[in-house]
Amino acid sequence: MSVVYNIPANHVTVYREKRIVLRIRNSVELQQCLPAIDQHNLAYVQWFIPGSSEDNAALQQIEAPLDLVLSNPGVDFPCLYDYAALADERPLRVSIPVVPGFGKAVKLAVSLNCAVKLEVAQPDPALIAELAEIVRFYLHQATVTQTIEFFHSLLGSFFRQEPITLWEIQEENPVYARYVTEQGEETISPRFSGANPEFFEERFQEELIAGQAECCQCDFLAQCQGYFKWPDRNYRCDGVKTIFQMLRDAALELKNDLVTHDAGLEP
Amino acid sequence: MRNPLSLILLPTLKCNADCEYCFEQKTNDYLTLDQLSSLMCKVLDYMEEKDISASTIYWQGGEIMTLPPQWFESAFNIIRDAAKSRGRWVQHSLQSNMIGYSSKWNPIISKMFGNSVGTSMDFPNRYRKLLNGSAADYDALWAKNVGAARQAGIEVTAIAVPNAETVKVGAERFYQHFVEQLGITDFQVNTPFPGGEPNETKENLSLDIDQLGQFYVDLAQIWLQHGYRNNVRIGPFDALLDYFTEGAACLPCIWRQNCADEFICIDAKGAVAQCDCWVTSYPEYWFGNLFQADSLGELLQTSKARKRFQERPKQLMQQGECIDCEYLALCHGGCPVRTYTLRNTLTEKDPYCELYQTLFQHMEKGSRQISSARH
Repeated sequence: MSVVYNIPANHVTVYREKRIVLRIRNSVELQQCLPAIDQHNLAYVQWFIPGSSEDNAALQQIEAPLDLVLSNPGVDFPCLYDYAALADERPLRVSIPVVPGFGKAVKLAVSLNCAVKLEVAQPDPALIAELAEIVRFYLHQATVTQTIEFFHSLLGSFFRQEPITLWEIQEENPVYARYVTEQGEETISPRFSGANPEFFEERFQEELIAGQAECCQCDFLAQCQGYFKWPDRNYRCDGVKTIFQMLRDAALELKNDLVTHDAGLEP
Repeated sequence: MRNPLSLILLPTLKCNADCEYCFEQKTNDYLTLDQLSSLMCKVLDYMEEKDISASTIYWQGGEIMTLPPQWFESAFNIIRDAAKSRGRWVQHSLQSNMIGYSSKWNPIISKMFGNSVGTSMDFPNRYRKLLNGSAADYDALWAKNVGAARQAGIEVTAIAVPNAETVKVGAERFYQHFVEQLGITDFQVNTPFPGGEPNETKENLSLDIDQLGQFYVDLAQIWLQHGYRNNVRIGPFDALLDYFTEGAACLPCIWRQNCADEFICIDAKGAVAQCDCWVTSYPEYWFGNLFQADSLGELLQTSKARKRFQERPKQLMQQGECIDCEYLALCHGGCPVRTYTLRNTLTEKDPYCELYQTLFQHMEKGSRQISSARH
């Protein structure tokens, strides 16, 4: 897989030959970079919301899949109604940071037929409780028909016993993900700002293991590979392990149900 | 290309009936064919501007059949030619009370409306009356005309609004009446609301929500047991079953994400509003007048009234109750016109919330049983 560069609008010409994700903050930026965009190399556009009505109208000029970035989900979640119709025209995802109140945005986004990607760092116990509620919502609510990442890929991985890591699911695999800051610095994603991608590619997990981090005994090391140990390597993972556990249990339950069903028994 | 445009068009505000609970202010206004051309020109401009390839026009009144069939013959040609010249596609859907129906309507119903008519009837009928006539007179004429239309091969669907006596006679009798006695196998049941000028009937239109909810659940159950396997369709149960079994459905307008993004209504005087109730009875909620506006796009873009409708779901989410509802994806706060006519505000959730939740739960459970029986 080739490297994908997540770039700001003013770097379009610099990365013209590369596969890109384009960050656009408003209609002015869009107008400026539109002529230089190579649609063939454009994976998707990240659009920051809420925006003005002029900005929202400009979205019609983009045909690529859209990733709406909702920075303040606990407050701004109702604005998702302004973008819902776009889901009928192209693939649409809402990226939501795991901050207090994020669950409301997830519920609304899914109710509006949008896929969701959670941007998670090192959640505290209150956020773990909110995450657990959203895992239950994702697993058991009949009206959820869209994916919520990282839950969805992890569930599939546990179910099919196929290896995948959070770094890949979250588009932060240091092997092929590059986030280019406004200043042109290349890193993995905003939460790794200032850090060298090669360090994560080559040494980060080795150092965690060598340093006897709790990762050594963790059941979920294969999927996590130290994802939650940045920036604070001493972050305690008890909470996030419960999230992994919920998804693994659900995958197992689903498997058992299918076995029972195939045997002609009622689950 | 964007989603199709849904346009509710009222080419006449005249009616040949005198239904006590009607929300419309009747007048003798109707669209001339020249006005229709001008109106369609602006609608097609809007479709081009928004890159909308197709539109469905829902023809309603007043009562549609107070205009002659020849008017529709001309209207059909005007719209077809105008749409073709712009590379757009327009289809038509007819809603009529069928009181003015005769065989003269058959050719245009076949040609323009796919040989299908949507009509309305309640059981027992208490409020639908002929001008200077009774509910019984209305029933008799309606049944005769619907029978004749069906005899001519026209598919007739119906909308029914429950009243106190509907709830009293119960779901089984109601189902038998429509499906077995009238032979109508595609109908929907709408909740009542007291739109338009108040009167004594409208004051007594509200039903006990628990009792009405039970009626809906009973009817849904009868349909699940006897109807759906025999190709009987009852809205909104059929859409809910599709939703819970297939994950997608064409839900009724009251439960769409935001009706303000999906359709508009234009009346015979050119008034543009959210739907037929708003355009005929609440001028303060008009978006503007299409005959006076330069373009439909600008009219919609600048309308403060429309903004209020667009903002409604957002305001409901901010208020907090709907966002925690497990059926948010199905309802989004419900119908603005039911809220307004029963609560005198736009920014509350639909007063039938409790009924909807009961029904959603019932259909979710019913769909699970059907899914497990299928596998």
